[in-house]
Amino acid sequence: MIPNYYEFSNTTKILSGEYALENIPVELKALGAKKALVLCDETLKKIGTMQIVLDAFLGKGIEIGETYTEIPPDSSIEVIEKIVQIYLDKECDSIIAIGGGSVIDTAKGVRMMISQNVKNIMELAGCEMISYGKHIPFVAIPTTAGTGSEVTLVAVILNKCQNIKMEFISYYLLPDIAVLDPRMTISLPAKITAATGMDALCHAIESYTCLQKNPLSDSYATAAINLIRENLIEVCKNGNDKKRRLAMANASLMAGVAFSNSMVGIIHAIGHALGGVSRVPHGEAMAILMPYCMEYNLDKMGELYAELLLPLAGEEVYASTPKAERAKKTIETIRNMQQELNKLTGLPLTLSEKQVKKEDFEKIAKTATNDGALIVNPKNAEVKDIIEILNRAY
Amino acid sequence: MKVSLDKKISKSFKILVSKVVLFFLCRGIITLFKNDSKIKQEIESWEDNFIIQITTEDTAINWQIQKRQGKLYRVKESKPNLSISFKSVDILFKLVTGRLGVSKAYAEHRFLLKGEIKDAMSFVRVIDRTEGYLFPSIMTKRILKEVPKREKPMLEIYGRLLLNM
Repeated sequence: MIPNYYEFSNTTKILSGEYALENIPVELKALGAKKALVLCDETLKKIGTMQIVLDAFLGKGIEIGETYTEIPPDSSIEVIEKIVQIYLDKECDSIIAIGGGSVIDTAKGVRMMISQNVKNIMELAGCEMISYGKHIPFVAIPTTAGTGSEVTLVAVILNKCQNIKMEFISYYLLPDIAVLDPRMTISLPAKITAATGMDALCHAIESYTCLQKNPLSDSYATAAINLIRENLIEVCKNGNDKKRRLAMANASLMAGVAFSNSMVGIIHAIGHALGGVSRVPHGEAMAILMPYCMEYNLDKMGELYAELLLPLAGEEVYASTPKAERAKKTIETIRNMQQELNKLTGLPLTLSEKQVKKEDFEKIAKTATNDGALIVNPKNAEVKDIIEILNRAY
Repeated sequence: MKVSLDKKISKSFKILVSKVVLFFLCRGIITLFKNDSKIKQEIESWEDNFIIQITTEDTAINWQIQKRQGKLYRVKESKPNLSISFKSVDILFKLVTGRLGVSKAYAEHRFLLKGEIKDAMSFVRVIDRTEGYLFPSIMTKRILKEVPKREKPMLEIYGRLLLNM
């Protein structure tokens, strides 16, 4: 059904496939850039992933002004402010982010501060409040297939003082270029491949079922789920399969476009809180919470979950499942997927496996009720409801 | 080509109605702060001197409420900590006349938000609950995800609101 009103935007140019990295300099030049600041993390530097990107710049006329690799797993305001200073000191004019959600979100924060010319990033907190500002060419190169951050309008940044993950939402956070090159995810360990893949699945499912859903985001979401069904388990069995790696990178990107335009709901609200309070890695939190939160939403979203059985389980399962049972079958399919990934990679199935303390449940639940993702979840959730979900997922 | 007279009249009418309803919304929140435990708990979590604004992009409407020394006051021309700015008065009109919920308005990108999202979430809960008292169930069923259980009868709250108690 067509919504009463919706908005949709994806201005990011996508380079996907073989030697995609080698085309970055041409794209940067077209955007008027000459000297790039490269952001990455220590692990990617050590295993040589960053070097592959730097090598792609050989003789192409774009200077690497500086590389910064001390980005922690949760991007924070302090790190962003430090990098802004480096960008200005080294007189860079563009940003290249190589990494997972944390590095790309850090880069979004840096770009936002420079582009808007502010000293304190908190001045920009909010939703769609910032204007276009000064254009800083920005290339995002994801090294996991899950966050979709390379095509989203959201930056999640940790506020250490309040121990909460802050959301900054604006269409002007979208990178200019997203580069999907199978060389970037080939070395990803199986467990992280599984967790980030489940994160992408969660993006697709929540974007298909939240209040902001629209026909365009729906098409991206279902296309992403199809790719995840066909490739996630297989790529966990054989991580060297470049075609499947690229397929998963595309699935993550498509799920990212979907949720950037229709947002995510209760699974992410609780997952963000679990990350902030108990330091559970985001992808693992999503994988653990997904079936429990879907059960919670079932009475309101059963029809939409039923529709998702087709891309998630394929046409034979869909056709052989009675209409009234499809929604539950969707949740069962996700549980089966989790079990298989658990056997293959050790992906956790419960919160107790992640040493989450029960005494933190109240704090997690309170934090989750203040997460922006909860506003677009079609079913209301109070602290007691979230504690119940956490208990079931324990 | 100029803007038509019909549009000008319609806009003026919508601004007027929005201002009147927002006046009562403010009274409603202040009344319920004293009479509803959940709204009280929510507002108590706001920092002292916290100011919330509802406005429109053309600034035709500037509604502000402040928590000061444990009480709520209607204020004017202050610098808000949280600002919800509707892109058009047509949508604010739909909201104040009970034809659109805040969650749906957010989902449709109908307003801009300046400030921390966690504060906005708390304010949205207060608005939703206040609407649960001020609007009849037939309306709230349509615009709220869940109709809140009233702790006191609607008529009592209206009485207190009109007498500013």
